[in-house]
Amino acid sequence: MTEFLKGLGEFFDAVASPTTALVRYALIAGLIASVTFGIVGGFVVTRRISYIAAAISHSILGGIGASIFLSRSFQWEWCTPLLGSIVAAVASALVIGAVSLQAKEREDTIIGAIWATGMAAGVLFIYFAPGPAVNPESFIFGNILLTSKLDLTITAVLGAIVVVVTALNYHKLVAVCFDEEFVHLRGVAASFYYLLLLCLIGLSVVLLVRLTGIILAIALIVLPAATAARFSRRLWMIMAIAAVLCMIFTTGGLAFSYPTQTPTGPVVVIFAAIVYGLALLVKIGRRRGAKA
Amino acid sequence: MSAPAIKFDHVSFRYGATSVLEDVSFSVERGASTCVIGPNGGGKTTLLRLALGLLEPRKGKIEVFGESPDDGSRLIGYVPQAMRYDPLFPVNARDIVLMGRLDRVRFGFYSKECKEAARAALAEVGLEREETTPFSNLSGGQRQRVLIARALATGADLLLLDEPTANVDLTVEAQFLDSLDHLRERATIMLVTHDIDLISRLGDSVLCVNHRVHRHAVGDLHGELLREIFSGEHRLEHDRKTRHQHGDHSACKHD
Repeated sequence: MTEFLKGLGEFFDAVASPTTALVRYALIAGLIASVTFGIVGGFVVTRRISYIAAAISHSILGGIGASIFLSRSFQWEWCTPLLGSIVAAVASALVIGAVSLQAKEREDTIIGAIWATGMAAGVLFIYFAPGPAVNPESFIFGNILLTSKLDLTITAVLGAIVVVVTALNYHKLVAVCFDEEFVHLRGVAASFYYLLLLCLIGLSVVLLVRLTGIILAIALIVLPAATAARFSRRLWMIMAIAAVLCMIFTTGGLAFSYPTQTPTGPVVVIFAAIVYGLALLVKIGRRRGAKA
Repeated sequence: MSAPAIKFDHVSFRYGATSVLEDVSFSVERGASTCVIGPNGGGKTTLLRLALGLLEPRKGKIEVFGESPDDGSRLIGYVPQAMRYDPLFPVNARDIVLMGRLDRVRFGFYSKECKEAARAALAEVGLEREETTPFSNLSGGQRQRVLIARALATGADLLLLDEPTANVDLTVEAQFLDSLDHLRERATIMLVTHDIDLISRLGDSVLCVNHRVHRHAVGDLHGELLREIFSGEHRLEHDRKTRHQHGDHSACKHD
């Protein structure tokens, strides 16, 4: 226990120290991204499309793999894993959205196909990429402690895009989530706003993959928003609570994993899962109390 | 002379090989209240969706206030069944009613005028005190009235209601009917229903839809005709209400 507390002190020292920028960058990136996750998580949970977000996150490995393969094969230095993941996320979002709008009965099939194909293509591209071997695990599980200054800038820019676009279109996105058909009847492009929502989810997942990895990404979008939904019945409030929870989980995860030298992403997700479990218990307890 | 609210001119529609509506012609005059009845699968909902421009007819022509359904649908306030919505979706009554002004959102905000229109629409259906009540906390009848308020907030001249009293208990249904009585004075109403009481109270005329459409005056409806149209469904509704009046609530639906 004493060693843990000592390690915790070292974590806060590292955050404050001007010489150990990595921990500070990781913390700032986590805090900025939390706002995005809170906003997008609110839509994902209330529209019940977490499976779409999961498919998009898994498809990102395909984009990352392709970018590594192309950049090494053709010396396309501009073809970075970040660009690959953005292209893959947006493309998967648009394909899933288009199929969902045109033929609802095929939605689950296309989600499954994109989910598995993205992962498979990513692993194969990485395998066949020339040059030194790349371990796909770094993308699958991520590592927030490897956040660079460039990553921090990208996180801030992508996060700002998601926040501004959502703010300008909030009412239309909410209406599309509640009643797409009515939005269409009011002469508003419902399909466009649904696809926009999926693209925003895609961009947020790209941010998450850099922090927690592909597998754990969906947990940080869903769990804080699902916890927040237990305590509020206004969407903007759910988003705000989810963003604050996400900040707490990210900071807590970093603070715990630093002294214990455990992987940060899984620790953050376990924190989020425990709090969600407690929120469920509180809700059940309240309901029983009300009945009694 | 102004164009009718809705005009179907020799309209046919089919889903794949299955014919749903054949050579349907009728019109609904402005200010009229028309009930649409018929057996399940007879084409009632398809009729509404064609009028809204959500489906394209295979043959024939549809006009809404003299315009194509795509252009005229903005003049329609569509009120679907409340039960099709996720009751846990985190919005309150005012949020939903404001959706009726969605096409007027500028730079992400509703104007003061939009908010006043929403408030007035809620007052018109008697829900001004429930403005900030979450959708999940409203009763089935209140949810249905919120959806009507949303349709009114659009400034619609024609209300299309799809089985508004389905899945609503009898007390709430009575409140809902009072709201509709009031609305008849300001809008054309076309209402799909299986409820004979609703037809006798609200309808000026009845469209009987069973792949083809026949218009009847409400007074012309008699037991034999209804039996033909409903295949016995009206008896179930009548039975439910009769049992309720005699204190047997086993068949009542509560939300």
